[in-house]
Amino acid sequence: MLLQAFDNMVQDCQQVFRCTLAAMAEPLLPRTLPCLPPALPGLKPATSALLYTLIDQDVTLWAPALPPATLASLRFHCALRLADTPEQADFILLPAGSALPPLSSLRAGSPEYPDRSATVLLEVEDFTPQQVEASGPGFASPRRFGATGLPPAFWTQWQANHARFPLGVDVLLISATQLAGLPRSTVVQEG
Amino acid sequence: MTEACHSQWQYNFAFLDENTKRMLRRALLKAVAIPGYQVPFGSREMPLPYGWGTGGIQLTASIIGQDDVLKVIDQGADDTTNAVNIRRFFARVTGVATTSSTAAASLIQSRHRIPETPLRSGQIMVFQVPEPEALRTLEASEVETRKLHAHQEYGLMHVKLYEDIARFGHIATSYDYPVMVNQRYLSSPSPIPKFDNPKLHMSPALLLFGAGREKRLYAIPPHTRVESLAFDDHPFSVQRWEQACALCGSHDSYLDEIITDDAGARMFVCSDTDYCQQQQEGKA
Repeated sequence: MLLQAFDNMVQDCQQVFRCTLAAMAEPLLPRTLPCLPPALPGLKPATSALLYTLIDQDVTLWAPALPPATLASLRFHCALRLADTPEQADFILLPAGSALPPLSSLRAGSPEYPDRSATVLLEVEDFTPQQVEASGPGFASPRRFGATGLPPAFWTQWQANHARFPLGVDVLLISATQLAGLPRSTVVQEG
Repeated sequence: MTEACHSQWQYNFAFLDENTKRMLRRALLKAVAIPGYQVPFGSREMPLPYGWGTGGIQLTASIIGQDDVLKVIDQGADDTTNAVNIRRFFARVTGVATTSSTAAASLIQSRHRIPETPLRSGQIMVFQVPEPEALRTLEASEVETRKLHAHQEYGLMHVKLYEDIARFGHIATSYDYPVMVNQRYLSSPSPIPKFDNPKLHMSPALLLFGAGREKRLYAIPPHTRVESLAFDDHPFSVQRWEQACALCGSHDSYLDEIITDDAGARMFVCSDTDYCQQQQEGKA
């Protein structure tokens, strides 16, 4: 069964991309997506919006087992190509509650081409303040941030990921309707 | 308006096809995550030649939306050939509103200037870049410059600036003055005058750079440290003029010298035409 994507793919994808660009430019500042498609089974509506916006036949996606209707719809709308292992994938999709592969095992780029690295789409329950203090490019001053439903020891893994800069992975944290960017340039202190 | 331009011209919104836009968008997200690093992209053939801003146009095309208000400047002016044509191109293929006012614009594409009016949070500037590699005049090989960036080995550029001092007594580079972004990547600010370099530092706006011929794009996120290279005993300084603008009287803006007759008479006027007009209206 195929599910409907955006009403207007061209305009809606542009809106979602601009929101994503702003989220990466000013990290850990949750933003509400301006438009949402009907949710794909097993994924949050905002996750579906990002997949339609970012995925096509030029990139590979790794995800834990997804419902057949979701896979069929993504194959139809995005020409989805699945990667066999997370280590090979350009995008790693982690629906709420799924186990996080070690960030250090994902594609981190090479010293000459650090952009050839993975982007993790990580679903969380909600954004709540007061878990960590973050700074770096995109922060006028340090910002406090937190999310419920993050995998255990996520922030510890993140610090190791940032320490490899300019290598590393980038993360998009996704709640039902919101999005927060976490580029590798972001410095995070717990507590 | 948009529907009309679609049916009339049969182009996709903003000219580029959706696959190309997605490729550019993914590259832009990586560029923002690694400030100052040049991300390769598949530059497309555009309806105007390389060197006329094809990199900037492709970036603008991949980010522009129906709600945007677009301003295009060429050396600070809204009314020169390059600016007029790019503005008209996007008005045609997107139907978005255009403006010459820096404050009213959400998206500003620029050839070689940053407006005098301070940018604000939420605005995006797109720079047209002829040569994205700051080290290219010192090292011709892309393989080598990639390695120099990987190892953060920027001694070559310091030697070049030092040779300027040895030869001229001061750093003679006056435009495309190299900067360090986020204390990591040496980057070209595009050929903006060094007068504009301080505006890159901790800018509230997102700054995107596109080079169409060289097929590279890079970014400086908002609130990012951008330092112009210098030496302790030869600190970075910007151009200053004894004259004020002959039209608006501003002492603070970047001035163009204009020859007005065969006898060599000259006047100095603001390079930023929108700013100059605002100043004149403010006085009237």
